[in-house]
Amino acid sequence: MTTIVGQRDAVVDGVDVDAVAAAARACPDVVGLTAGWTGGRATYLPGRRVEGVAVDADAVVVQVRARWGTTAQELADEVRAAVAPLAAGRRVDVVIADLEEPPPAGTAVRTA
Amino acid sequence: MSQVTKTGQAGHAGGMQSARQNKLSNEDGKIMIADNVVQKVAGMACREVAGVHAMGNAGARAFSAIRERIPGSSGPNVSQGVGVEVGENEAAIDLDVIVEYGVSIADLGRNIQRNVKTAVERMTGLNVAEVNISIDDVHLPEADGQRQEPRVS
Repeated sequence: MTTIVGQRDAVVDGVDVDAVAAAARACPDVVGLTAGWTGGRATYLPGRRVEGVAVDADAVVVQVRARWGTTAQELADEVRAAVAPLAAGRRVDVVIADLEEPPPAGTAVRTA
Repeated sequence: MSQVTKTGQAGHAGGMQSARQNKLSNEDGKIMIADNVVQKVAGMACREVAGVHAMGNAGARAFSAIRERIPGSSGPNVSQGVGVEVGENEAAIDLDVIVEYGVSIADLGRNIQRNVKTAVERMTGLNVAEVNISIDDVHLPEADGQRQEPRVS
């Protein structure tokens, strides 16, 4: 049965979930993807799950952990621009599910 | 005009029917698929999805837990928790699923439906009309370690 597991299985209703996750992670203001809370959004594939990405009937939901210091609008614009070409015509919903820890007082911002 | 429509409709309907039947029945004969074939394919496709802990209702799981301890018995029953109705070219599937604690049941359910439908359609050539899932239980992470030591004596 494991022979079926492969690249194809990451495609949910025409949306390549792995590609969406990679595109979202590549955004400069995104620290990572997260399901957010117990029972948060994720895509369940054979043998693994992709947390923070879910494909709904009319939208692709991307849940991100935001970098400290960015604005919600900037972040959403970045993620939308990165993910929209992969969304097969669906809306892209961006959920800011978590925020990076602020840098300790006195240090320069964006050292990470 | 009406004739065109008529033939168009007839052609369309005939085309649909033959396209549907092409996979499993042709002029050489029919390919019949038994219920337990669909059960096993659906069972495997459901179990392999991350977030699915086990399948089957409480009675079936209790019975199979005993059965698996009998020496010489064949491991876990793949088709446990899978009910199917198979017609000539369509199948309907019912699944009893125990999920891991912490999954999004709505998301998991949709992904199970997709995986099972794809696997059955790919392997058998049947059209899957519906995949119904009932979540019978949630498996808690600490449940395994404490099973041998009951809290009450």
